[in-house]
Amino acid sequence: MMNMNCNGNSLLKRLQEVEFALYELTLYLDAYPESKDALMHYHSLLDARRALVAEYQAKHGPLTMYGNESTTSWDWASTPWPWEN
Amino acid sequence: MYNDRNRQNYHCARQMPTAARVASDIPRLDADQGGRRCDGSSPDHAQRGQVSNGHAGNGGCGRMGNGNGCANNSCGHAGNGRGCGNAENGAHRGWGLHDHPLAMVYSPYQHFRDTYTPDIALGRGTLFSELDLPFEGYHNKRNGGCAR
Repeated sequence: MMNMNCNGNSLLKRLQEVEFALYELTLYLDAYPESKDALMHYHSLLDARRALVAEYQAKHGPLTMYGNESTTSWDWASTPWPWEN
Repeated sequence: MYNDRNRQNYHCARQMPTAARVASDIPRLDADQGGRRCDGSSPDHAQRGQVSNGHAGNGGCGRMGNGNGCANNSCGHAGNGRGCGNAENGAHRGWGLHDHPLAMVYSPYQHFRDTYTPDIALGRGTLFSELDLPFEGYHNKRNGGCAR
């Protein structure tokens, strides 16, 4: 049984921060699609998000229903919800 | 059901700077008056900080002859005491904006600079330090709704 702990909450917080920044960059790039600096920043944060999601799911199970990566067990409903410590 | 004008509105909204989009539905105003700037043909219009509502000569509100856009309570929601200098009711008496004409909006070009780190951005509610503008209009008459 995988348990959520402080590390899990910390990972979620960092994920939330990175996803908010990505959302802001999306709005900016909608308005200024030619901005190379914004695009570089976007991809940098996209890489960071991928790494955070991978780390979270490896430790605590699927983050969304698309994160059921095990082919031998169904983890989505059996692992703690993000708000469960 | 979408027609050409709906599509133009949508296109225009996607082209607006973040600041303007958050502040109001400025793109809709532009599109209603012919969709200028939606095609990107004159971006310097916004860079110069000019009023883009199509009524720049009369104080920002059509059909007003007095130039201040507010005096006759016939401009939008002037009677609620917010945003108009002649408010006779309401405790805030115009939020300290007595000398500002109604609905004068602009959208300068935003530059990609001075971004917050993600942890700060989430706390401040914006990635862009230039848009980190708490609303303090009542206490900051000189700068209107934003304190810097």
